[in-house]
Amino acid sequence: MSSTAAGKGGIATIVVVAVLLFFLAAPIGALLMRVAGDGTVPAAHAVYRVLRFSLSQAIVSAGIAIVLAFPVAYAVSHYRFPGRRLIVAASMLPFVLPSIIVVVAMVAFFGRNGTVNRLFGMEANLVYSFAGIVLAHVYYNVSLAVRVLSAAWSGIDRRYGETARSLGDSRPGSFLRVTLPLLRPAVSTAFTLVFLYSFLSFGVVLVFGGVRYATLEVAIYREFFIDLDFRSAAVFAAVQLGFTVLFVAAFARSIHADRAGVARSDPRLPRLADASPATRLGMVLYLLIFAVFLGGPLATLIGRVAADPTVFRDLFVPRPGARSVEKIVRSTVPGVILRSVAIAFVSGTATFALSAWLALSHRGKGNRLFETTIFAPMGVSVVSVALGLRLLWEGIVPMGALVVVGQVVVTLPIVFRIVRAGVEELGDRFVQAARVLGASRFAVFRDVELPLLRRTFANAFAYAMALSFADITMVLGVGRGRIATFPVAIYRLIGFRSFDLAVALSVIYIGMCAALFLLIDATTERRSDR
Amino acid sequence: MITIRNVRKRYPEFEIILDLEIGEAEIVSILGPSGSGKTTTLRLIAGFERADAGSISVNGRDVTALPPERRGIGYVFQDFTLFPHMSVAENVGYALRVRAVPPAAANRRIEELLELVDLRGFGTRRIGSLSGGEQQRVAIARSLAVDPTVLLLDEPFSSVDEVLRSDLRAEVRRLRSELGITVVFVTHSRQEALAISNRVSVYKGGRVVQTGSPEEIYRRPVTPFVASFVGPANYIRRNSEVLLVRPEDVELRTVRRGTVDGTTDAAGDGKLLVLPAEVEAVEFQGHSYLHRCRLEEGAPVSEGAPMGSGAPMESGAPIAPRGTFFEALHSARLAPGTAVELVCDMSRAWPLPRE
Repeated sequence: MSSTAAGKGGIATIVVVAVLLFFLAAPIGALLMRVAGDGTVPAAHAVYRVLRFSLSQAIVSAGIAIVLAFPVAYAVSHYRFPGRRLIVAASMLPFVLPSIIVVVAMVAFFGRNGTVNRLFGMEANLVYSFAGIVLAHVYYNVSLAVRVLSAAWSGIDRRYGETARSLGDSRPGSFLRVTLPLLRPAVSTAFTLVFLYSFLSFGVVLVFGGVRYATLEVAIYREFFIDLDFRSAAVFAAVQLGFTVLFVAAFARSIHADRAGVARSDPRLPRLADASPATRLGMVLYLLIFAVFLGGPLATLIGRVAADPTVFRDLFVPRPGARSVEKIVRSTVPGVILRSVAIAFVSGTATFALSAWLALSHRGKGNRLFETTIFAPMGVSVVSVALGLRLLWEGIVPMGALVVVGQVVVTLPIVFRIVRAGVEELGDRFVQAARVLGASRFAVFRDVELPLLRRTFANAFAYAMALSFADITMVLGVGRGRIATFPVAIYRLIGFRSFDLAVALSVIYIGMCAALFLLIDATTERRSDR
Repeated sequence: MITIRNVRKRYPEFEIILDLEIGEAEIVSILGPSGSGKTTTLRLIAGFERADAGSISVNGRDVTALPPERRGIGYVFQDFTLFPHMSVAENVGYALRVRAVPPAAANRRIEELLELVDLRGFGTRRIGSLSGGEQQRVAIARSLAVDPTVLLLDEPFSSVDEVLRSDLRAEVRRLRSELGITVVFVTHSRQEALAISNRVSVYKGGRVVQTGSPEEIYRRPVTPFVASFVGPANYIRRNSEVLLVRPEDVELRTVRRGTVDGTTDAAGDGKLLVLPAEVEAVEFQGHSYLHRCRLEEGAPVSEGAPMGSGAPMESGAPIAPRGTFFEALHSARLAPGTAVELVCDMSRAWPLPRE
């Protein structure tokens, strides 16, 4: 911390570039090299089929998520109502909820014997299908779309709409002609993000896709581990990389436009309870349905174990005649918990520390190289990185360490954004004020920044841990199932048709994750609620 | 013509109760401190807010229950709210597009409107490329596209610089006389209100305190609040009366200390009040200097007791002297500390109505 501010920005850039070159670019390169190696080259029509599925489900998922998010975004950006904070907070769901638990929750809620089917007396197959994959992706990402749209919407002066109406336009007319065009950048940002996450989806498709559907991500994994055909895997990886680079280049602006902002809880917003009866009725109904859609699947999981808590005992002591968890998962449940927590702690600490250092030292400096590099992992196939890391370092670096390194690299952009949002909101005026008063750079950090950023840091640290906790792709890709963390264990339980055990383990996971965030919330005062 | 009758609008913290009559082709300004209900009045007239009680009619038509798009009223917001995703012509033609006016006719009308505000040839420009004054004129042209009989302007001049401001004022006045429409605008600048309106309505705490011509408001205010809000004011108590004396009615003469007896009225006809004082501070105002003077303590005053300048804002409270200062205009700058005598022209003093 001795060099000048500009110099530190430079160092941050060098560090980021070096880390990502070693642990992101090199592994992917190693995998792609296999295109020229042993194995078969998949048939063009097979590649085309996988590509078409990857694209079509991502487009449909993004489209539906945005349409569903619109009314919620309107409510969040225009009114105050109970539960508003929860909806805004739910936008982080896709990052901290393992895809495998989404799968379990979807099956429990929408599956053949799920809550919805039982409620309506049907037996529809809503999950193990194209529709099921889209459903899960929408479930996963709709809150993200809500956040992006509502943040933009609350930034649009409502007087634009009023002006339009004073010029003779109706309410729907002014929405179509004025508000919607002003929202267009946000719509395109939300669409791009949901599209990208769905395009790169792994866990959901791995389970729901069966033999019929595979995203490129799943195809790479299958070729690598099931068919042991590295060359095919490399071809799929190359195709995927080509397309993601294309998307990211085309939509770079949309992706960068998302500064992780949220719709502010402005006390001047009118209460929903004060809106006109028609608006109120429509909004309340829609929000309720949305809440059921979002909360229902998770509530079902908890409901199931609450109805029969003995299932927890089954996790430790198998029922007579049933296969034990230890046999299926190749680890005891306490082992799973300890291993998950240990990996999450190490990986979370590293990601957080790196993010915090980068955000602080790089504050307020526009550096294109830095910006592009640090967000690069967002558009990169996690499976490819995982397999590449394996190819490069297996036998040299312990597997556990490889998993941690991989997780740090792929979660860095997300955690960095959280820290940066807080750091940027704080600005550097306090720092400048303190330095004018004669404080050293370190004293400023200790006395001014740390206290003011405590909540941001705590939050980012929690997310960093949760992201690692939720990771299945890296653990599965590098560890090949031998490192049994929560998501891997749940995945195996599903594979062995031990659905009730999977539900029980999911509930334990959700409980631990909730405890983590409640702990963070309770130990840091809320500055935003002044 | 706008008639606001007994309109009430309740907010958590305060309530607005309005009665206001605005004649045809008038320029009326609504003047008052922030939070006094000025903008709300415009929003009620435009239909962005619904009154809890009372009625609003425009040209004899009751519009109380109509949505904004059916009131036919032009509205220009403080920062113009030009649609950033449209060109100048698209902004101006917005109302025509909504009404499905055929493109040829719409384009002709857009040309006309741009010409009206002196922006011919600006049609294809992007909003971001316009200066503040140009933006304002586009906003006005846009609001005129609906052929409104009433144009509402919310602090229309506050986001442009001083120089432009007087140009734009002239522009608004010209448009009003050319088109014969009623203009109501909100301002918290007294100069602006007095300069361009033929009537001024002074607000306080959600009520209209006084409505009248600029001269009336300035010279014959009904409360000390109005008196002080529209200009610098000096107050003199005479018997049980409080008299308002504006600084321009106070002549400032330099004297040698101790030579003024304070009682006299130099002309001997009882119309002048002379007060001994000392210059405290001077503000240059361009055409003259506003001198803030401290009155000599215990100055023998026969005709009335000086109250000092700047009245307490709370009506109903007794007028308490905030120090005994008087403000007076003078053509030259006098150094602070200069001994002066203040000659008040009592024939131009205005007795404030008792509250």
